[in-house]
Amino acid sequence: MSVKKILVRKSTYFDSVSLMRIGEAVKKESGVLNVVVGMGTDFNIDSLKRLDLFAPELNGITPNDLVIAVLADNAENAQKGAEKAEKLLTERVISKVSADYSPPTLKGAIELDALSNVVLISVPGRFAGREVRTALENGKHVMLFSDNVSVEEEIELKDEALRRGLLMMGPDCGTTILNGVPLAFSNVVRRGDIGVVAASGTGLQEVTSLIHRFGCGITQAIGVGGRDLSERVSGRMTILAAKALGADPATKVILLVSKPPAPSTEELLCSELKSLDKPIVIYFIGADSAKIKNAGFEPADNLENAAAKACELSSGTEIIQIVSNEEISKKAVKMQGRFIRGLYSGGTLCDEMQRQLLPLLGTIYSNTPVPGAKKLSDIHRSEGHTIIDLGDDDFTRGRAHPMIDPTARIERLQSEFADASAGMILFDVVLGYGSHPDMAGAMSDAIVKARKETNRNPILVANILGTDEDPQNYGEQVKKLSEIGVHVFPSNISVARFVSAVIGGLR
Amino acid sequence: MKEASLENITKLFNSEIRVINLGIPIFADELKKQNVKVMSVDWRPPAGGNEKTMNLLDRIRAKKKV
Amino acid sequence: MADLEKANKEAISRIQSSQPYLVGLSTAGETVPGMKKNMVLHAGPPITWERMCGPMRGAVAGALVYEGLAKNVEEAEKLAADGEIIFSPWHEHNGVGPMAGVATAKMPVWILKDKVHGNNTYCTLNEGLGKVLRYGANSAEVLDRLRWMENELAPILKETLLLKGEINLKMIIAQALQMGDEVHNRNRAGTSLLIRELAPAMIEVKADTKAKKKVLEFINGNDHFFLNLSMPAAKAITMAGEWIEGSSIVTTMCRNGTDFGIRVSGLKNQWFTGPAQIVKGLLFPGFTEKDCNPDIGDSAITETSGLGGFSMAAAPAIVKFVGGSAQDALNFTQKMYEITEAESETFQIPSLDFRGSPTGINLLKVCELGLLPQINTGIAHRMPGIGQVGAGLVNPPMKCFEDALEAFAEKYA
Repeated sequence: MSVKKILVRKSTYFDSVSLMRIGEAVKKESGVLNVVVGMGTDFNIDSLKRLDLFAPELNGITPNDLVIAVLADNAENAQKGAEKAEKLLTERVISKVSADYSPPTLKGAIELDALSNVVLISVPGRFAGREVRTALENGKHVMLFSDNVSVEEEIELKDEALRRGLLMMGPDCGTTILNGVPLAFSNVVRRGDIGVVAASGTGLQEVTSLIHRFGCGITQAIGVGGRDLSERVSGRMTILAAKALGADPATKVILLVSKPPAPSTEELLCSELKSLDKPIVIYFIGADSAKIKNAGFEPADNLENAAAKACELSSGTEIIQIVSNEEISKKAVKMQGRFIRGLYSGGTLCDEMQRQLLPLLGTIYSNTPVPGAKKLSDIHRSEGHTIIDLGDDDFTRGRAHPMIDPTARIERLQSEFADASAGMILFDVVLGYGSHPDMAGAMSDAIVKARKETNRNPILVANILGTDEDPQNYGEQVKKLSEIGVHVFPSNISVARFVSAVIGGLR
Repeated sequence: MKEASLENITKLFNSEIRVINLGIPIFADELKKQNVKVMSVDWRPPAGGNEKTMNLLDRIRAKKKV
Repeated sequence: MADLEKANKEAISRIQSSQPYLVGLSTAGETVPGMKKNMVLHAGPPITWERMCGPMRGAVAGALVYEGLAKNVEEAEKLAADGEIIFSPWHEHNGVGPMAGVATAKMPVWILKDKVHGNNTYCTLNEGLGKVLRYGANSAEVLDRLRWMENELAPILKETLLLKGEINLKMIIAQALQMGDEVHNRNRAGTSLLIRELAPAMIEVKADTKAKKKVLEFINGNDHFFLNLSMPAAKAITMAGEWIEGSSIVTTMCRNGTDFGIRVSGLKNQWFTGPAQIVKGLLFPGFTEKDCNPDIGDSAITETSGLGGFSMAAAPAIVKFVGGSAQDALNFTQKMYEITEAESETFQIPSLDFRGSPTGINLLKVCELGLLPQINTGIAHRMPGIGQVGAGLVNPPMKCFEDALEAFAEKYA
């Protein structure tokens, strides 16, 4: 049984494609067997006849008339179908305007925006080299976030960059601030006259945030990739960046942050940097300050101190420790449970914490142990004092980075809560662009839940890394954690001091 | 290695930062939030990840300029 | 050893400077190079009777009856299967044919000339929509129409052209592109502009007024009449860039309903084929996917020359066939710049700020990016004689380009 419903709109024009689409949509309505929505052309009249939709009232229609013909299983559905067609005809079509055009190649993008000057690359490592080469060949500076790029390739690419006088920041470079613009994982930092070069992402984030806190500012903050100061890469980018800052009239002080360079690289650095006619503060995590001083540079003992020294040189005024030893001692509480557990999203913060606490604790386990610390046999199970970098490859395979996604760290937090020997848990909250919008909130919810479930209350200590201009609202982040009893500090070293105060008294 | 010229970097330090992003889309989104000019590349592995094709292309490219 | 960069530059330069004009009308037998009485020209790369799809078989049978080589369709099919008939691709005779593209000696063909490079190209006249030979229809009605075209339409148009002189097709296409056509699936503006060119001269043709009126009504009633001119014009343009040692520019893309075939400038006369794909789009009422024939026709020559799907930004309505927005039409064209070498100096696209259309498909770029040329096209019913069942978007199979790349590396690397 089938029923026809025919509507004619005389002297109406719609283009055939729109009408076909309306026809398709009506065909999907329940009970509709066939539909023709079209102008009264010979072709459409044939279709109507072929589909048994023609009716006597259609005799005499012209190509200027619109026909809506619906064949359905009953009268009601035929009527509904025809009404749907009418509705679609009168409805305003809101076109889905897709986002700006994204070209499928770097070359295409370069052609479309000739004024571009920085290419930020985070494609899989084995494809990254080609893209970097294309960028450099077209005169663009490169920030290479990708890792899994071989040392050989890194050297090739940096040599190409040096030939062209371009920056090749990386591989594995997650933080750079150029002309006040935070790229990838970076903070909003005031402009000033301190130029920073770092072979360390969170190291760069902490020093620049603290420079801001101390009331000073930066010209540029250039990440060079974690391997730049290794023996083979021999500081190629560090030296180029430092020289560029040396030649930059806006930069008055240079700050260098890194893990200790290979000995040959350190020598090369010192000779190259000596020629720069500006004060240079150097923080090589765990290095010998005396040696640096003898080389003619200003050594720092920790990230906060590095920022402070740079600011002192910039402003000419003394910068005191953010949280005094006295204040820290006052906050010290008694620890139940023997061990310290550190859950870090920032590799450099994890490193610095290990080094600061090794003399005090004697034995520390980690997935990324510093010299003197021990490697965990199972990175997912803490032993004794354990301080881990959750941002390391071993933890992030197939998962999002802990600065973006708190899930992995919260899982580990729950394990530590369940472990009666864990007396204190440390963690970092890294703010800034690229990072989670409310890490403090996520961590505080997790802490409240863990306390409830395990009925335990280990000491909780957090370092909030960021500035008051970061998108996450620094003050709110502090509040969310402090109001549930977490000891909140503004720098990694103050956390280390707090741990010392709790365990053995602060010196 | 001869001394690298600092001209291009100095130029960068005095220009509007304009970014081309290849890879993680968040990076481009974050830049847009700051009103930084950024163009995203709809990146895909070259030659659809086909190694044979890549090798042929590399052979040809090596002979491109005689 | 050829300089590959230089070779491409030369191919592009020749393509850009090509000037296709409509210069006359004759029959295939009289004017198409290499044509024979027992030859049937067809669209796409070379193919045998056994492998031909439904619409093409229907068209071949109808053409053989029309040509007088067989008395009826059954006899025609037997003749075709027996090996008495030579099947040859239009492309190997400097011509093109839409859909099945079947042509025999008596059929009238447009004659075009590239006035800069001297090449002639050819195409039959468009029969109209629905039950027509190019969709495989071969009834008496179809053959009658073909005879009317041969005996009345063609002579009047031939005379008209003699009086008019030549018509600059490149200019018409350039204008049509700015009026909403992309001259593959949209030809309304082109057809209208053509009538403007022909009408005054046609009035002076010595023939019955009724006959001339019928000619104009025939053209007017078929929005795609101009397609059979835009295609050979595109053919002339790409032909100008053919057979240049070392060039990786793609000069032919075509389909016969079974295979898709390409040719590359630096690989003279070599075909690289793969399976013709299913077109994704909008179907006319009552038809479903299982009714659709795979991609067919030489009309992809328009895309090969930077028109058609490559100029989709000039005809945004096309993307409605695949549920897209006007922005998608712009994006399709913009993507094609990634695989081409140049921007047309003549064909400009208003919505892209009058940027020249993407010209000169580079085989190497297609392979490097894994980005296939974008074609928009009509869809034929897989049964012969039913006609068009819809329109939409399709790509060539990657195999054609991979095979061509291998041959190119073999020869030049």
